[in-house]
Amino acid sequence: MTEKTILTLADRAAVLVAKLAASSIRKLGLGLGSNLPGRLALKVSPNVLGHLSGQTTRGVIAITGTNGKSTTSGILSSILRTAGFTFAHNRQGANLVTGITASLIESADWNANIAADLCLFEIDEAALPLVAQQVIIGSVVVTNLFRDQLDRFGELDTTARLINKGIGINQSLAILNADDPNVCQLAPEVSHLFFGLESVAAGVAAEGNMELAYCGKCGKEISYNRVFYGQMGHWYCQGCDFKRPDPAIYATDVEVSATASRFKLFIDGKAEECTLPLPGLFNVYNALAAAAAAFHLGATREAIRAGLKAYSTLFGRSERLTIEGKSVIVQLIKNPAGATQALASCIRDPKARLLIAINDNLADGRDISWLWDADFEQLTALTDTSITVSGQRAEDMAVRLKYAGINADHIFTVPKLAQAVTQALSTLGADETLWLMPTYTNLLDLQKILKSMGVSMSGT
Amino acid sequence: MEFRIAHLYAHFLNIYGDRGNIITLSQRAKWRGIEVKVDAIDIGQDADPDYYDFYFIGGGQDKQQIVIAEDLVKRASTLKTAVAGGAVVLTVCGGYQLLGHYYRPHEGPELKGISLLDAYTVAGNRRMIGNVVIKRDDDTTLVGFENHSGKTFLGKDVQPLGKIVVGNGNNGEDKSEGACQGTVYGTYLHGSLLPKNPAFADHLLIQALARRYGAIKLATLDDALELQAHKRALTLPA
Repeated sequence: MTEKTILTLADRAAVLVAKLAASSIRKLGLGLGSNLPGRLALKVSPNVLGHLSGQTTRGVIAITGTNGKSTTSGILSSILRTAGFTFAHNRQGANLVTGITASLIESADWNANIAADLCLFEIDEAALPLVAQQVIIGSVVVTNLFRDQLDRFGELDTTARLINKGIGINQSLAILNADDPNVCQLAPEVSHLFFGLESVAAGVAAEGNMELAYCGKCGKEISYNRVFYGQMGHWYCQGCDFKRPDPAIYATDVEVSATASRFKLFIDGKAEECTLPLPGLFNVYNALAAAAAAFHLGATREAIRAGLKAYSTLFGRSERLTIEGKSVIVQLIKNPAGATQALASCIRDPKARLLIAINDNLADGRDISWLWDADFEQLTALTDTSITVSGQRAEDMAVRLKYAGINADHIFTVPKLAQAVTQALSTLGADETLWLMPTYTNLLDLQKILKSMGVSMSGT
Repeated sequence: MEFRIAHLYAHFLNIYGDRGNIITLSQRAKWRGIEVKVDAIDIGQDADPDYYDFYFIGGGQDKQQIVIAEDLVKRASTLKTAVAGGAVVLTVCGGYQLLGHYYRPHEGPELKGISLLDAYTVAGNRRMIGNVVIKRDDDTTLVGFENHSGKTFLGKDVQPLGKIVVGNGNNGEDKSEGACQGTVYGTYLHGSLLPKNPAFADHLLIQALARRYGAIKLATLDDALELQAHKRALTLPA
């Protein structure tokens, strides 16, 4: 329990200004308005974020990492709702300081009071130290650390340093993925709670290409007894004593299908049979991260089980939609590891058709070299499937598929996304599913396109 | 016919999609009925200089660069033997820097290169990130994406790969990009480089096969998709 912060006059003024700005933005139809109100509020009261979040009784939990931030936050909020907690959450995924401030102000009343037990913040890796300087963060969940968005941060080591700094500022509890050697090297001087995957059911294979990792202590290449995907698995270092810690919260006997997974979830030594309505081992990790966080916050095992089952998909993360009577799955892709996982789920569906949309705006990552590190070769398992490519870099995606071994005659380049969606849907058979894989800004475009077709994506 | 590729430090230097270059060369050879053998050569692992037609080294993170530099110095003489025998070497970014005489960081000791290219690199203060277009002597273009802060300067024994049309290139100062010395190539272009520059890929393939098969003519491929992507890349902002 944290002591409640006293709000200043400036805080109240900041909330007022931001709320007025947010409502004008909405009235004028200028979009979601997730950043500007935050920026204004921070101008009026630079400490408003800390002061507002300080009002909650259970404090702040942060979720960061390369992949799975939004999904983990989404699953955690499903559990917290089931468990009866009230909380503020930056659920639109605006995960920089201004966006987090704006979303928190939305949860406050006009008097700047927040009637919530806690704040759940999804935070961009680079923004974590900035937020931690303003907010007392009780615990930080790190989902995984992949080599992502190199053109933004430079290198993985930079990202690890930023997260370390963020955790160190408040000496937060670190809730870490035991199976990711990149994550386990973080914040050695604080308390930890580890989650991990113990075993998968027979027949569940490692997904995609394995990624090498290097020991955070001695620099030697990490060895594995077993790999689940990427650099995730039961690992140890041959050069020193660094090895996978035993997780306190873990899953066994994981079964996966194209749309869901089932597993035994062990918390505090006792098992719950769980169903998660999301495909892929990567989402089992997201569920474990959320379960560990929920357990730490005081949710019961039963609430965790029920919360996992009740989870309904987030905007563009394995989101299932029906459009003009046809079945569509939307899965955001943004880096090699995530894309490889998404493709692994897709090829489990023999009736899959694909639409892949690649943009190269700043929010997507301007360097699209990563397409060559993702395992598109998997798609050759879907014989004769047609693949539509779209977006600003549709032509590059077409080349990637051709070199992955897809027949060039089965690749259709339609750069305009709206046209690509219409075309892919019109040729989709009644028993088939369109797997729509956009990068981030394509996903935002897609949301508008579907809205004009009368289909709302979640969170909108 | 067989095309033999040595992918040096494949597991270490695989973060900027440089694998795309290996995929491209392999596929373009296979589509012409040429058998392809790709070996990943790790640190400390020998590569027979008589065996391989083509060597590739990609880019990596700074920490890895130091380990690689040490290993590369140890294999300098076998690599030089391979080049003298006609093997082709293509290096990108970090690999390119280590093929020069040295890399001088902001602080700490110089990283010794292996002088296969008459060039040297010094750490810069600005990261050069963005799309690149270069024009070669024969007026053809190469397209790619750069992401580096090291500034490379060329000596008199080496030719630039091309002149900068868009982007920064070797050092952001003299409009040169990349380096070519006989059958040894260095460039800052990721993207990956070869998929969108099919003529250059074939040029490397012909040059590498010449080592064992003499002058050969490659069958023409349908490069419509590749050329479309190339054309699109010519229009991208820096």
